Amino acid sequence: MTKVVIDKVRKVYPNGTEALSPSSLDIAHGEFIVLVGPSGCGKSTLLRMIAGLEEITDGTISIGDRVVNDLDPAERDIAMVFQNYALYPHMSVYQNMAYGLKNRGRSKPDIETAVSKAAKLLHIEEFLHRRPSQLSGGQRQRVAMGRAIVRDPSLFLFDEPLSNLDAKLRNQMRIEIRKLQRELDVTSIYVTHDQIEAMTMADKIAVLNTGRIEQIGTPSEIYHKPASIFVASFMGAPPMNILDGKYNGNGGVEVADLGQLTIDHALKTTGKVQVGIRPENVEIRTEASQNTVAIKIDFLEELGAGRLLHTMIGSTPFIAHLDNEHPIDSDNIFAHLPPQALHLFDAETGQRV
Amino acid sequence: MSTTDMSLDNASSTTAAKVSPARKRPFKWSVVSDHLILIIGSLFMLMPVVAAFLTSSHDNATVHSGGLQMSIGDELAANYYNAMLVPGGFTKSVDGMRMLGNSFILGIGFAVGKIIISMLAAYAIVYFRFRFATLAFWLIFTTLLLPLEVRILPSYEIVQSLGLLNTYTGLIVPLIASATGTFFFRQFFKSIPDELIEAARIDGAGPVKFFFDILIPLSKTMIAAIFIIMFVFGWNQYLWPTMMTTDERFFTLVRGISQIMQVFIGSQIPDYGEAMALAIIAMLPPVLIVVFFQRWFVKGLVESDK
Repeated sequence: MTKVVIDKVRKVYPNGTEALSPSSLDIAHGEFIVLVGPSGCGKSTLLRMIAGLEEITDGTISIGDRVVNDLDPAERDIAMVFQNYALYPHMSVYQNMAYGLKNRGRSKPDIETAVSKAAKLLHIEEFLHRRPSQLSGGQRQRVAMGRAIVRDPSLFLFDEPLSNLDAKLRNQMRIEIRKLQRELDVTSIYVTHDQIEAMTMADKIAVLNTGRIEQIGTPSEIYHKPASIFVASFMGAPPMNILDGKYNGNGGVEVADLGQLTIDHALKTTGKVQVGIRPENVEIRTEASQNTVAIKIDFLEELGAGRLLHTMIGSTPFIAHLDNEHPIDSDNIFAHLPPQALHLFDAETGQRV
Repeated sequence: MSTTDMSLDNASSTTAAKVSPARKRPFKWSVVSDHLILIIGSLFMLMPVVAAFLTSSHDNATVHSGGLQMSIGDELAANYYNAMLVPGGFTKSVDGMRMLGNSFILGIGFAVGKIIISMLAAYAIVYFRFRFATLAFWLIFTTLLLPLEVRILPSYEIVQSLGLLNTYTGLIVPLIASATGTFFFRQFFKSIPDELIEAARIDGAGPVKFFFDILIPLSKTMIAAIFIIMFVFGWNQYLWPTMMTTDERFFTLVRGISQIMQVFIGSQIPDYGEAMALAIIAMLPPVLIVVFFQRWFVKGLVESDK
């Protein structure tokens, strides 16, 4: 059973920049956790500290029952899949996969069994004697996975492994990695900047921003109850609509260019707030009522399964995700913002209120 | 799939491009002038070699009176036989074969030594954090500007006091530290992606294993390139062997040629023919090395996908 405990881990680079402020994270056995955030948010730094490729400035990391702060990467019983695959170009696929085992002093027949088992699992048996340069991107990705699973580690680390693949292959590998991880039942930490990857693959997501963990939760929690304005706008495509407003204390929010919005709970804050609503929660009405605003269609984007309506509320861009069934009368439409679908954030701290 | 499609497209477009202009390519004077310049350049490089070869087929008296010869003479075999297989020199103890062997020992020892030393130095500079690493690199780098001649007296002094005059060790070792080689390997190592090193670390390869299992195989093409340069450089060494070796048994070919030319004792004519023959022989190994390694070098470049 491998659980990973990250306890107040902090990273300061020698030049004084703090890449990661003290962060804690508990990962249960067999869990697939995704670290997501924009570039420079510290997600890769955290992963590399877990791998042992980066010194830990403060705090402790334990894998299983061992504190691994001072262990070499090779002693941590981990395997890592890199963004550029990092296959040894002068070795065949077989040698690439066997190299780690060889260094651990495993016997030849042992290595052969392990490699052929992993190769079979990943359907790369026919490539075993080719060089990485003779493989396509997707095949190299499989080999990189193979090199990781052949060692039977207690923890998998993925550093943006799919970002070099084309979109179709990425969708396919996403599912495959997830299936494989369930099958092998190995705790995994996956770093990506792609929020779709995070949503689709994770048991639990940790959203990072500027060296801080903003929120930890299941994909559904992250999506439906974002803890901060950053999480709200980072997760989801198209992104959440954000409007500036002011809480007037009596169950309503005053929004510029829109008027009074009713909300479904009392806020503990006073003053400026930001109001968010996901495009798919916006309803289109033909007549004004409470929580509606008259809008003008700037642009209709056809998605096949639905349509995106682009408009402006004041000077703020606003998007509504519509179904295909209802025709729209472009002269007379109103956007309805249901109170229960509104996300409210303190304008100063960015926290959910 | 997309890559095969693309290469197919490329292939068809290039063949199309090849076919259509070949039919009615307009005549261009620039093509003629380009070739003219190239031909003049090649002649300029080739003529001395041709002259040396032709002169090596004449007897000494002809050359002495007539200068370089531009026709084939009848002493070809004799000159080469004398130069290579008849012991000559002051002590009559050294023939061309011996000098050829010495040149090979110097050239190969020099190149291999330089590769080993500079690879290790570059490995330390690139992959290990130690105090003053940058300073060490710049110190090494600035010595690039200093030719051997600048330090030849102190070097001689050291080798002499170690009793290494007239030994292969003394001939090779003082020359094998190489700023050029270190610099090339440093640049090459820096181009190897960090992820590869990290993958190796996770795979349990320590510094020594990484060096032998990953770095050396990846450096093959670089090693070949440096070997070519350094072998030719070592083979052509003249000043250092001249100072170092007084014993004729340690003479290299380059040194031997000059020795032949310096025998104006009384009315004796230098063995011009033999000297030219030795010069031609001395030229061959570097040419062969370049030709042989070139193929290897290109092959390595094509296959590598780092």
